Amino acid sequence: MSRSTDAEATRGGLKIVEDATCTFCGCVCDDIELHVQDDHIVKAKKACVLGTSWFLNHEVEDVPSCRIEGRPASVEEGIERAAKILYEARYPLIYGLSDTTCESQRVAVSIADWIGANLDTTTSVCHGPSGMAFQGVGEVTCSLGEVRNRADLIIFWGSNPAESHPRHFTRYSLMPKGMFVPGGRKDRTCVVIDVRKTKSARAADVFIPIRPRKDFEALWTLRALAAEIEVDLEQVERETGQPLVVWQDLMDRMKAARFGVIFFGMGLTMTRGKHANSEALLALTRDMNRHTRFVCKPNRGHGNVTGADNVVSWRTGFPFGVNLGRGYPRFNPGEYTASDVLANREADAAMIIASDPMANFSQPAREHLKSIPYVALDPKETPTTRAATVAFTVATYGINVAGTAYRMDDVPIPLRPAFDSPHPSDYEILRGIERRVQKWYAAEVRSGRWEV
Amino acid sequence: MMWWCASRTATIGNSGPVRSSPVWLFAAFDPLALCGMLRQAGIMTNETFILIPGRTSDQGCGISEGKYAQRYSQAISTVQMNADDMKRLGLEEGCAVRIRSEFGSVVLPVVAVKGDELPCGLLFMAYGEYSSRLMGGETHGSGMPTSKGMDVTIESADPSEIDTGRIS
Ligand code: SF4
Repeated sequence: MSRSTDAEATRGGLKIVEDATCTFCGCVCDDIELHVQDDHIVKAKKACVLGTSWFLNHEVEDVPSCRIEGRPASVEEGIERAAKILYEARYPLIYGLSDTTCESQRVAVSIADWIGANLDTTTSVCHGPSGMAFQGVGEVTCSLGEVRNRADLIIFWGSNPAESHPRHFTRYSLMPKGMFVPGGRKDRTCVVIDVRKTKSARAADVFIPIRPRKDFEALWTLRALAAEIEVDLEQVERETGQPLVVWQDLMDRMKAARFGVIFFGMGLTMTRGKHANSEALLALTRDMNRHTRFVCKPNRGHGNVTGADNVVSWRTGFPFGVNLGRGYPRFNPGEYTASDVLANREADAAMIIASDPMANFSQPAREHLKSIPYVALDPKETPTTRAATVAFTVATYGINVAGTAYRMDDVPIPLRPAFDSPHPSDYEILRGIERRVQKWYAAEVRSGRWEV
Repeated sequence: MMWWCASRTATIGNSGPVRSSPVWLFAAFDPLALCGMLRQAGIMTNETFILIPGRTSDQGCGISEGKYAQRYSQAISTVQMNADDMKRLGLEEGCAVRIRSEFGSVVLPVVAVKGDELPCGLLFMAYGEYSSRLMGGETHGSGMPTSKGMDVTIESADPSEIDTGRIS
């Protein structure tokens, strides 16, 4: 893959990369100016605290590009062993994918197809429940550019962008002066709904603290108010933790808005109700369009998790939790999602790409992953790479590797790398694995074992 | 890593925690005084809380610095509590507490949350290895384990049991 970029210049002995793209979070800011000295970035202008940490800490790791069972090995040996592990498995799992390029994601899906794997992305433990809800209700949506130029009521529900997406406010949602909101922040009202008074709540005009695990009840209260259905005063307060007047005030603001948007986070999807919470929010957004223009958007976390949804969707027809074991795609969250495949002790081998289930999954899922042979690809050492049978240290996407990432509003954005890495990209590793499994599959077809 | 409060060893003893102490026994006492007494005796009643793991700036920056670097380990290995809850339970900044869910337990230092960020009855910690140990494998047909809003109990623990720095 090309690693060069045409947006480079030199200033005071430093290489300057203009309009570089930060892939740390779903905002995928593409206006960063990088100052590069040899093989590290010394300055990342316009990047937030998370973006700065992302750029300044991705130096070249002085470690072997490949380890097999903890011992340094050549990349070729690693690819051979990795391909063997996956090809010989009866129920291989391919998981991760949210922190790599769409080009690599595409190859990972191809491998899953060749070997009949179970394929899942980190979406399943982030906005997977919302992915299920989109299929049930649909999504009234728009780009972040529309929010920037039109939105006069911004609601954050179970989302804390001040800490998770620090430039969300300034680049897209609260502060910008837009075409139809020329006064910027002055022309917008911000409401935060959360169980705790987060840093984002401090930036809001209205903060509504709700009882933990009662998002579903609060959302249905709003749906009832949107439809002017009478609700029980006492029950509303008891269930949601807020009196009806608070919800009525919010509904009045929502109806009076010219363009409203609800950004929702994992406060909805990771808690009791999960996809039912997301469904209620999507349905509320749909309801609001009887009164005014209203949209909603999940605040997506990892840099290219939206790309993973897109690539897996256009390759298999489903966004995550896809099983290709029968030679055609089947989608069933709760069965083919990585947490379940591991916790239920079904997978007998795995390939983990750019994610860290050994740190983030439940104990039974981690225990099972530890007990099976698996391959891990990551630019950094993590609990997942440490316990892997074959671990590859790969170049970092967006810093060393070019390609494409999708912003959280499904807008594809090119990556402009800053310097080369001595480590291979995950694309190169995945292509190597794909070539091998393809070759073995073709040999088996020729020998008459498989029909095509 | 010895970055938590140095006074903890002086305030918590070594005997094991009391489990499922009958509520009626405490009703006649001032709860604060009682917790202080229990703490001095090295024990503290089981208290039920709702745990909300989530993202923080430090945890996010720590991921880029490396999961075995200090910033990340520190960010994920502290539990935050409302100052009033801490006072009520007789806990001091940096005291070791055992957080137990239906699925696992961890021992971490507790710190008071700044201002009114966290209401009483709620705990907050940054996502990571320790919050994951408290999660169950069941996803209720969604692919997503319940990772926020978990029921947990809190009891005092010996500082030597703190899990900090033992990332696998
Ligand atoms: S908001 Fe997100 S994408 Fe933008 S600079 Fe910060 S971390 Fe990077």
